[in-house]
Amino acid sequence: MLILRRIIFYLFLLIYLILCPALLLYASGYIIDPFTREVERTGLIHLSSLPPGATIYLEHSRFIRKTPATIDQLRPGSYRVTLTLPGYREWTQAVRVKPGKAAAFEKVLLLPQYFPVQTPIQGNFKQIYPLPGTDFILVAQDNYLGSIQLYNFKNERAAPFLDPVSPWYKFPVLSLSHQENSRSFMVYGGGLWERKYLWVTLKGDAPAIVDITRFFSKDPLLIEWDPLNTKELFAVYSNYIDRVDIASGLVYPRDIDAVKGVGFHNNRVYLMTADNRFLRYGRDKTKAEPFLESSHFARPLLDTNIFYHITAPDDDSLFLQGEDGSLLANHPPYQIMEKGVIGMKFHERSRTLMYWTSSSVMLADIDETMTANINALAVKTIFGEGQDIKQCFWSGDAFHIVCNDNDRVYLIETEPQGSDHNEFITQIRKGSSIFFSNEAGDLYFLDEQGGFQKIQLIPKESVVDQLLNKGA
Amino acid sequence: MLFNYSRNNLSRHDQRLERIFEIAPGALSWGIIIGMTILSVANPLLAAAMMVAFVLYWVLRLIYMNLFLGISYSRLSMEKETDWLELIEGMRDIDALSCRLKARAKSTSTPAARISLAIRRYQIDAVKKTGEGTPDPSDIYHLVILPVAREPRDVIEPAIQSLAEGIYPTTKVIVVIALEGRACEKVKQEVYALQRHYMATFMDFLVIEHPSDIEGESSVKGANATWAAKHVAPWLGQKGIAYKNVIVSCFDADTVAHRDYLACLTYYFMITPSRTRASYQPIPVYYNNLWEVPGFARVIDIGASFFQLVESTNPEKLVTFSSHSMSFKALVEVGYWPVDMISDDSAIFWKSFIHYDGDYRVVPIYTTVSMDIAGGDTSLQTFINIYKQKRRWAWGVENLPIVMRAFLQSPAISLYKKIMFSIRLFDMFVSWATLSFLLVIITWFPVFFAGREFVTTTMYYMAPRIKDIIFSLSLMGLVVCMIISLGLLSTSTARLRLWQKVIHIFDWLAIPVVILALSSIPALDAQTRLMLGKYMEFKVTEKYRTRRD
Repeated sequence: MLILRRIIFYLFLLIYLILCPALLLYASGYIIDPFTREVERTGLIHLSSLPPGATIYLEHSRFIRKTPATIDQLRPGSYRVTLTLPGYREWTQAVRVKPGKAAAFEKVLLLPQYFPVQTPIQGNFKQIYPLPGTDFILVAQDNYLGSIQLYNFKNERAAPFLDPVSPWYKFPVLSLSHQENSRSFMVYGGGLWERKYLWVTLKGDAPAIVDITRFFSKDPLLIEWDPLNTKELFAVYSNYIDRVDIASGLVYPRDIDAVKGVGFHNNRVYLMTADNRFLRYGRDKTKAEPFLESSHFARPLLDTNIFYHITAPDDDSLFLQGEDGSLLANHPPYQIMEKGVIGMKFHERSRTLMYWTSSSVMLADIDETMTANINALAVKTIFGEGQDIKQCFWSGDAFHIVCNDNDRVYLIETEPQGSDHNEFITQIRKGSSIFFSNEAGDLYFLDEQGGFQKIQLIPKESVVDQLLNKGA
Repeated sequence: MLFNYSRNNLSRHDQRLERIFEIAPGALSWGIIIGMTILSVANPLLAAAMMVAFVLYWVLRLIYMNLFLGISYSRLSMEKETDWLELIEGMRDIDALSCRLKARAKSTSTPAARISLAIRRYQIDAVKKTGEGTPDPSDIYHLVILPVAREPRDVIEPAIQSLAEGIYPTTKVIVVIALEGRACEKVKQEVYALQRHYMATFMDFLVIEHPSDIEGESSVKGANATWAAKHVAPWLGQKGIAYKNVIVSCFDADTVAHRDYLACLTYYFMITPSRTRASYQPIPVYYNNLWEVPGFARVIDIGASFFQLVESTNPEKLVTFSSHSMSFKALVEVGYWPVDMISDDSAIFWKSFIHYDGDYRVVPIYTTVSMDIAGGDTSLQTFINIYKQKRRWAWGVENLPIVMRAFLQSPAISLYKKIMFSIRLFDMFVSWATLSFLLVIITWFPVFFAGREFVTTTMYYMAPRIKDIIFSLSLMGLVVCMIISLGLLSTSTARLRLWQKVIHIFDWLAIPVVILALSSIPALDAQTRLMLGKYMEFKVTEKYRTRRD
């Protein structure tokens, strides 16, 4: 038995000594060319799609497996990869395979040839006002408050926003502003000589409306509030902020003085003082603490006459969007855009900032900069042919961006899918807005005739996947 | 070699040496777990490559062990038909026995019986070649010690009954119940009742009470067994029984010996050259209360039986485990079981090995002793009790520093044996604590912590694929385990019903989690305690038996 055991032991040892390096070399991409008998290093392409099961073509050859699949042992060079699935648009990408490297295309979203369109509310509408972070969309038939329908996209129910007997029923709406995750929003409107600010809070199905015009001595530059505390407003003027306690009706004039920037994040108020210092308040707003004190990053770049909107996603990062359209960060090169920025949204899980001008959508990756310690934010343009970009939305997994450009909706793939996959989705009513619910993967818009429509842009299973990823 | 087989009463130098080797296994296990975790974050590419190498090593090891598990199981099955008493009697005329076996081999038709006879002939021829001769069977006595602390009659009686119903003549069997003095009155009364009941069945039935609080002793099973053995020694002298002819079996109170056990043991004792320099290790199985405990409890203890089956094919490195037997002469010469160590079952082997300068070994015997699976009133309690039991088993690591200290000090033990056993000890304990962690959790870390650089490599995609293929291969090993497990259960208990077979197959599916929770973590727990110098105290494992009225 002992001899048998020894023989088998050495046999297994020999198998291990042969197999182990062979497997490691194989995993690293090394193969022996069957014709030349030479060792060469290959690369691979990994593809997964939504929905899965798409046929893969490498140049003109069909790959035996369907997505998700990994095509390995590819000689370095350029390949054209195509995914096809009946009923869906073809997806093609030029891929450069490098030795020992993987070109990955995760969750390639295959778009249907024709999107099935649902009509959540019948009728003709002029505008939609999304309220991100809530379950509601406001859908307006005309430009007065009483024409608005309150649509709950979670339970798919619609109801008139106001009772016809409401004193605000005929109130003309000029603009509507909202902070993400807030159940309150601001309506600005009224007659030419009697402009008003209305503070609307959604409580159950009936809105509570308060006229807060009297709290403002003159038109503020900006009205901000903490989404988690809708009893207080901050009326931002050129260099000071009035605080308004809506419940008690008290106004604290120049509550914060010598200030030129404000932002809210995670129960905190961020302030930028006139001498370009940054302060942070806790929820009770009684004690200010210096924030990024040691960072002198963009001070020479900051224009003293411009008010900045502050986004501070974590303790190390800060973004400033100036009212002149400039965009600055506390990471090199500090000035991301000199002017023209219309909006920005930060994706927390991927730590990526999306911002857009009227013609381009760009991404700035924080992690890459910080880990690689290079002297520039990893900024890239993912959509550069825009004509009049008004809105952009992240998808939950940050693989896609939904964009409203000149009344046309596009679905733009982000890294690593490449930059040339900008799929046209639909034409919308001129001048209207869109809303993309990244939890459900649904796009809400008004069609050219004013019909309120819904398209499922990203399949349900991928939405679940996104939420799982979000949890992770 | 005169050696203090204890961590107490050591010189400063020895204490330091002992402490280093107490820290070593825990430090090595934690080093592997933490090191691989850090490497997975710092250099996932290298970590992934190491994981591929590791998973391949593991699957080859699994196949290797499966192979020997199959061989060992076949051997155990073959030996079932062996007439041990005939062999023992035949030893009086070894040449005649050899001829008889040769003749029988010709007339035997089944391959299993033929192999069994070939093994017998090989063993008997080997005895003839040594020219040592064998003791007369009538001179051989069995001393069976059953330490009892708080086990009720329900648990102890089947152990005694199994000896009474065995094929070996009970007139050559002395049963000793080593009763803890601190045991409660009810337990004591039941033990004495058993003595009265079985007194006439055996050559003698002694109950020896072990006083508590003896200086230098810990409250461990070894102290109780040692006290009993020391008191039996003069009794043997009075009866004129030579120590060299007494085989002592130190069982747990719940150990039910196979009816062939003592006969098989006697045979192996007789044919083993230098028979007093050996321990005799049966295959421990845990069937006494198999269907009274949850599935995870069944699987983990069948795993322990499998481990012993595999180990039995490698007698060169075999160490005693659980219930086993040895010569009383050796027991006396080495100074009995350690009285301050929990792991007395393996400690006695190491103590003997060191005492005889490496001239001591373990002889596997292909018969079974069945014990209880640790249980409890609820599944949670069963889980906790098994966890504690496995931690106690893993506390066998306490032998490692003592053995290492002996190896460093002994010039007589051969270098080959020192290196072989050192590697074996470290490999066994470190693998025990780390293998499941690496397989179930840490192999996924490189992909989980993958940075952008790693994600763009072929290794990122190929390593999980290779691991998947290897894991699929390992499923074959699992199937082998299931089959052998069903075979073992069918032969050792009443024939399995279909539902029991189905349930048992499902039991095995939980094995990765069960091994992690009830094998690796208790082992790591034990090693960590030893590393930190927080020494464990012996606690009697709760045996759970549904009362059959």
